[in-house]
Amino acid sequence: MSEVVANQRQRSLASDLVMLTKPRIISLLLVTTAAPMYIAGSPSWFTLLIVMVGGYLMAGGANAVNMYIDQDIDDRMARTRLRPIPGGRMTPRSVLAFGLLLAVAATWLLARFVNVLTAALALGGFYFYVFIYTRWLKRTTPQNIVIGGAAGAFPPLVGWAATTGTVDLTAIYLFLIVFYWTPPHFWALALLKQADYGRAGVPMAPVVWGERETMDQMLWYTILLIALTVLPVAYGAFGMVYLVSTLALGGALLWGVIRMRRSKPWTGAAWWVYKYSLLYLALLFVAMVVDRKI
Amino acid sequence: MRSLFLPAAIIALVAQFAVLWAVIAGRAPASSPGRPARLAEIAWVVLPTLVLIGVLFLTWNRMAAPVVVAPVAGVTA
Repeated sequence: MSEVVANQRQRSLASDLVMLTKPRIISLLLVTTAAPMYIAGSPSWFTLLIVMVGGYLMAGGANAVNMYIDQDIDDRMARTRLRPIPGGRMTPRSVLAFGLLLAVAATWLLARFVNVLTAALALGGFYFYVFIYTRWLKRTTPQNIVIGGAAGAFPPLVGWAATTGTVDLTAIYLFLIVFYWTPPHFWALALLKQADYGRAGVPMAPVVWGERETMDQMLWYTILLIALTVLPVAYGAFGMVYLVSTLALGGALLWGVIRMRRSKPWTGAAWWVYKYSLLYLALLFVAMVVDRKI
Repeated sequence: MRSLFLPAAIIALVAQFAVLWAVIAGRAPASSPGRPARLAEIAWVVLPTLVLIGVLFLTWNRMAAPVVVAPVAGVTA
């Protein structure tokens, strides 16, 4: 009997450790890390494997430290109430130690088996997410998602540096694409969860600006994003396959945002924008790889 | 495809300045009242605006750079 209980606890601890890393969010980060590796060149399977493992550990570590810092507000939000710390299943200290351990392991792995620049960029993303976004901006400004979006934009730089050992203009464009994709993507969710954010005292855009202005800003950022995705074609980084794909994918995103602004109620349309924006980014990066390889 | 640069760059800049104007005009206010919070808010939008302008400048430079043709073995001038 006690063996059964011990097994259940072990399983529960394992699932909590996985939960701390936010695996669903990381899956998209890994796409935006792996695709640039193939846009930049032809990495070996070993390099790809190490970058994927290192990237997962670094992002997972950042997410765990984020849960340590946000433990006071996670309890006040329905979306985060079941996390290991507010759920009382793990102590804050053990969560912090786990997060830092993952970041150290990722840094060593990437520096030892890939290159120092890759490790430094991944660590830069970790610091940006933990200190600039979570610790500083998240609770002080509605621009938190705009600037904080840079943390999620590091993976393309990591992937590019892993293959080339450097960062060039196309890598910077990939960074900016993820950076400008973040506001329309995350504000769709923030609109839907604004009551939660309001209760927790987090000044997300819909809480401070209201729904209308947030939707207006989402529209401007979507237009900016589409223009930005076209620019690499202008200097020859990508060709027709990518251009057609980016215009079609971006057109659908723009249509979704416009539909959301016009809909009453807008919740269904906002969910569509949130979910489609995830698919949009993944497909955009796949289109870049396909364009380069054919 | 070079002709794409100007319209795409103009659209990107117009959208970025629209976002900046919303903050300056007070339609997208800071989370707390007061001049320092408002200035900080403007600074957070000015920062990506400057980065965008910088990247557009680099792109223009890349397009303006002369194309270097690699020499082909066996072909003499």
